[in-house]
Amino acid sequence: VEALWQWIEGSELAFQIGATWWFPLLESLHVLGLATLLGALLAVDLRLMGLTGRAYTVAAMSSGMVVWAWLGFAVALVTGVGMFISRPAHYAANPAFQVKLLLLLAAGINLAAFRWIGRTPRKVAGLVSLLVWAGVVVAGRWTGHLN
Amino acid sequence: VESVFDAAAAGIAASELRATVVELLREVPGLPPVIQAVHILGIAVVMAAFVVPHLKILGVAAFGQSYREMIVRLSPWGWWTLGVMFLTGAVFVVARPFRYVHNPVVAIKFSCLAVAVALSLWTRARAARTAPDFRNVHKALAALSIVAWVGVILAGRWIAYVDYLFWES
Repeated sequence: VEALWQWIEGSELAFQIGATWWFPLLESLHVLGLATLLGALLAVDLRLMGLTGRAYTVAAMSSGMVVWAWLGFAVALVTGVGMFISRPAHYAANPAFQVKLLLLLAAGINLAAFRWIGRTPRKVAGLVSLLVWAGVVVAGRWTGHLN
Repeated sequence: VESVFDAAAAGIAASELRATVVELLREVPGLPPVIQAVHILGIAVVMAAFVVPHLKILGVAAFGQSYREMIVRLSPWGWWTLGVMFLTGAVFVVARPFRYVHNPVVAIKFSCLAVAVALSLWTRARAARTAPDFRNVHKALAALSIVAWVGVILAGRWIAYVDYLFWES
């Protein structure tokens, strides 16, 4: 794995991102992407928990919202990978980044358990989603503070 | 105007409050990233409360919800969150006032913010009258406000990277 990180870090693309205005550009788009993801998810999760928007069914609340969450996720993923490859070994060893990856995995498992595999209770799925994603944001911001 | 900001920054820099804030940011483990993370989570709520209704006017989001119900439900979220954003942002301005008063990206961010808030309120008031039918003028205003909000978010992140943009200063 070390050799892989070194090979990525030695690439022209990784150098360009790390040494130029590419990194701040990716970082600012990362914030925009995650805000879109969480902004769309917030209403759906709160509805799942039965806290707001009870005038609508969960399906009505999700319509034209979940697609924005996926769009935001895609932007955050691409820009996140872009920032990662600028210093892959550094990030892989960063404890905050490791926690962030674990929380992302937890978010994925929570989604799969609710949507595709089983039938987690709505309130549990919504609450876990909100807490885990908030944790992803905290761990993500913390990643930048550990050098 | 610049001298007013300079005087305010000097006043903050010499204050007891600044000494306390700097000490807390330095001594409490993880306080800076946690406060910044709350600020970022606030951006997500701003998206939900101000941008999503505009996306609905444009016909690209929230198909199953009523516009009028949405803005009534979301308004308190928006205003409370702007308050949280002000407080979490102010912590860092109080800690290092001179970093912000001479930063042109700060001016860009707050210009965008003024436009975004004013346009959002105006758009909301006009669109609510004819909802669920929106006129082209409502759509244009909604699109403009979204651009302004995106400007606030991007400029906010670039405050820390001002040297990339204005490197001669």
